[in-house]
Amino acid sequence: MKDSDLGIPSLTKNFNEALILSILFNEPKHGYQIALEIEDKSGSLFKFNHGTLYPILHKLEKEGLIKGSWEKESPKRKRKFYKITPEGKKYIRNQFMEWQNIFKYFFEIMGEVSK
Amino acid sequence: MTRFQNLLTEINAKLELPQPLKSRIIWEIADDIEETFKAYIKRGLSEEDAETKTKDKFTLSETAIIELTQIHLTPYRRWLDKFSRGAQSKWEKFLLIIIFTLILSSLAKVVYSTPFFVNASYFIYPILTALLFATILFIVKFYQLYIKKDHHIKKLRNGLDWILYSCGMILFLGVFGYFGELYVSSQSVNYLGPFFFLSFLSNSTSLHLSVEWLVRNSSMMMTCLGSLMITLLYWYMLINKAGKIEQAEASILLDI
Repeated sequence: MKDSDLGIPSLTKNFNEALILSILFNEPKHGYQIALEIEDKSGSLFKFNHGTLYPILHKLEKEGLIKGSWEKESPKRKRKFYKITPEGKKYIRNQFMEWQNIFKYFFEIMGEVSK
Repeated sequence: MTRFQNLLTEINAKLELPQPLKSRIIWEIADDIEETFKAYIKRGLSEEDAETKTKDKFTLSETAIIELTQIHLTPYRRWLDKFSRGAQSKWEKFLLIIIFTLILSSLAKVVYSTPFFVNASYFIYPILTALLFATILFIVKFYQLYIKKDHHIKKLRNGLDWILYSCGMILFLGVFGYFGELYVSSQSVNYLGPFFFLSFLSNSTSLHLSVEWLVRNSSMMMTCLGSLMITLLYWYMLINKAGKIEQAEASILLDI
């Protein structure tokens, strides 16, 4: 399984990965649903461009954290949906703790501003 | 799909990946584009605004293109697609059919006209079994791709790797059989320790045995090479068809 690495240089990348894995945590979704749901749930704060989304989805799929499957909706239409794997669930649970730590220290440092 | 064809064509041109891989990415994007557009319409946006917003969302940056390429292009895929991109022209197909027919007819002639195979090595049987396995797979896939025309993307390449594995098995059995027979034959003559291959030259009985060994092994090696070529041709023909189907489906989406 992929090692958790939340270093500052890879923070944005990990942030996007964490968002995607969290959105997929409870049910499988299509690519467009992932992007729209992240946008909706964040009050349009996290605007997910698909140019960013596909490389992340395909990378996560390659690492075995999510699984992409094609479903045939009609003879001429196939759709791909993504489902989180047990490894993915384990990975995002670990990341959740690490993100909490990061923000804890972040706000501690930022707290200096209000003193 | 006409609304987003230009965008899809642009992405298709930017992605430096083999067409079958590109097609799968394009299918995924094409479906998501359409659904995102519909979602924006549902949210009350005008068609024009929804189209602009969707296009903005789906414009792949140079970084995204590079990342996608890096993720997908494994050395194995690169090697596979180098082959599957070939045999597109009519001449190449015609040449393939001629080679295939020549091999089959020459093999059949050898099998039916000479007692050559009566004394063949026993390794001929596992080799023929592997060929039979590949032939069954070929017939199933041929039926699926050419007759039934079941072009489901998920099943398109299923089983093709097993034909390739059969090639490996045939080659392994041929090489193993060659040295196995050599070793077994050397046991029947004056044994000269690790230099058993020199044993054949020690007397006339040994010479007779060596001729027998040659007959057994050459018939086996001919079968091995013939089976190998046939199996490779099976794979080559099917992988090209699968690639062509994927390319055709992408062309429908891209209108190219």
